[in-house]
Amino acid sequence: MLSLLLKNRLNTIFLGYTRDEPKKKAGRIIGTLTSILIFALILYYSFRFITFIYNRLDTGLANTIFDIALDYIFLIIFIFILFTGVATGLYILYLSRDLELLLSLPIRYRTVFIYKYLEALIANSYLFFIVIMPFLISYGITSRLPLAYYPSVIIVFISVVSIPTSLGVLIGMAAVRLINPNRAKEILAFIGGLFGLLIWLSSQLIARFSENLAPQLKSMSIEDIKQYITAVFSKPFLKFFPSTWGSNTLFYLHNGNYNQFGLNFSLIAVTSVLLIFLCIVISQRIYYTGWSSSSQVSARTGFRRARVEGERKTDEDGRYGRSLFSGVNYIMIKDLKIISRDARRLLNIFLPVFMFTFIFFWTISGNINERRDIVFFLPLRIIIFLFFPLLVSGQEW
Amino acid sequence: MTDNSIAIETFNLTKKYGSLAAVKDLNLKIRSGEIFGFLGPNGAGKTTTIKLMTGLLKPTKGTVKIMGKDIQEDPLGAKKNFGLIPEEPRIYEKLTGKEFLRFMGNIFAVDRKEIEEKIKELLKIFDLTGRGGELIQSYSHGMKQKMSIAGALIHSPSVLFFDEPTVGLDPKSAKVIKDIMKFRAKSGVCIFMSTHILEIAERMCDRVGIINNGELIAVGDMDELRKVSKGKEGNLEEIFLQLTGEEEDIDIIKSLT
Repeated sequence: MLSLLLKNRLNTIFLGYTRDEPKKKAGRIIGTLTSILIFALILYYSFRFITFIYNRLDTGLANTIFDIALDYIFLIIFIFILFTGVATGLYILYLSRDLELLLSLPIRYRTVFIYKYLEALIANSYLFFIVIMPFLISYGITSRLPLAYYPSVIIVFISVVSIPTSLGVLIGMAAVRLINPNRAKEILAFIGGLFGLLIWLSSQLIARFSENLAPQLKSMSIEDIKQYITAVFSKPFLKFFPSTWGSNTLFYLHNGNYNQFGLNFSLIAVTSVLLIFLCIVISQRIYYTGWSSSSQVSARTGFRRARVEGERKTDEDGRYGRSLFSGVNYIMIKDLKIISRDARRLLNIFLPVFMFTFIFFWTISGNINERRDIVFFLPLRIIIFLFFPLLVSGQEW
Repeated sequence: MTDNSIAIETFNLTKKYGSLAAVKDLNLKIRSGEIFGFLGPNGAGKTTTIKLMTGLLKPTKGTVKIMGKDIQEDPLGAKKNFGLIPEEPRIYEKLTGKEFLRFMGNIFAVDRKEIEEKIKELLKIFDLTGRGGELIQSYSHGMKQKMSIAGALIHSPSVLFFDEPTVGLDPKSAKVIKDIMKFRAKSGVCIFMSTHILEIAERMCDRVGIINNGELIAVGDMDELRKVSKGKEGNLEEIFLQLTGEEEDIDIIKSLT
């Protein structure tokens, strides 16, 4: 049954490219070609970048840098998906348009859950796949790693993505009684905005840190630099993150340390499988109940509205008679009510206002104004900063 | 009424949203081959009842049996026996009509050869033969509704649930659907239909149930309903308005005009 659902999904995707309206079809084709182009460009530039690092720097130092870089790249993916995974899970598991059809058909709830879980996994990971995978492939090509590296990369990537997805789905299933799934997109946009802000602040901190560090590094030996970088970035708590097991798997494979490779690979793969299994087991108990109770939200609102309307009927004449407002004011009041009840609209208004205020104060501070490079990059940063939450909130599944 | 002839049976079916009871202790027995109309004002609990009967909502209390199979205990067994046509068509719009019907047939494990024959037959019945190869998203609302019905009919179910089946349909499409209901009922299919259109209920249904504020306030054929409405002679509209206490609305409308 699952294969039937997946086949049906693939068919809808395929028909979207071949039979959809010309405008939508063109948009889809352009989007796909752009993704391929981005993938190819990242592959090309990351290849050049990694080659450059290994050619210019001591191999030990380059290895240390890439070890830490992999740790942090995987950590960012892990944390981002952990936060967005709850909202994505809520949205896909409880608000997908086809759920009412699927759940009225003779399909096991478990099958529907697995199908939706896979959708959530893809929704959570496709952007990272396009951005991170070429870098990891370049890492393998430049170091002339054995062919076994490439399937390992894919397994590690899927595991790193699936663990936070599973955790997000588990939290989502538990939280569905408290959070209205209709708010999932707003939550996602908010988290996306927050995460964008964090990344941007981190980049500022790193830029300032690097400025101070550069003169010091010139006077240090390679061993000192390695020790310095390790002391600054290699934190003990990282070992407990599954993302670090993933990065270690690739790093130890790269260095030919097969014992450590096996250990880390087993850790991440087993954790990933166990969590997926746990999700499936728990879903059998709470997914249907959760879906049923979440679909009550709109029904409950409908009931209350219908009954309140019934109670109001007798008072309608009086309401019109008491009014001191013009029609325009009625429209404005209506808009205010709608905005206050729609977190996404609120976010659309307040996020840019908040960001522009922040950027304004940042730009007028004296020492920053002296730095022309920041002023030069400012428009670009603003675009990225604004684009990030919009990108996340506008995702379609 | 023998047990074998009962297609839908509800026992003390209740759905509560906090303190609000959307459906209260609903007890119904509907026979195979019967067209049962389910009437009620907005927010009375009609759609909730259909969702409870089809397993889309979990009841707070009570049971639903479809062809003797409990929808909560044996959901797969119960769901194999019915087709659901919701008010808003729930179909994959990115599939073509034929592909959607094929998908539905496969889900219900209908034989492949039979699926192809059924597709031809259903597309012909619904006047969609020339459009079967187009994406459903290009269809009009009426065509989508017809496709939704065709999807529900592909496995020849014993029970059909219609939620407001004629809403948004042109008279010709509405007639096709009414004819299909009559034809299916004659061949022994139980039809459970919620509707606002009292004329359809009066002309088509063998029995009618009236729900108000989640409570079944009357059930029976026209004669039985007249008795319940304290001997009020007249059509279903008058009986309905009297039973749901909406006769007062007529006075309000009169005073406004």
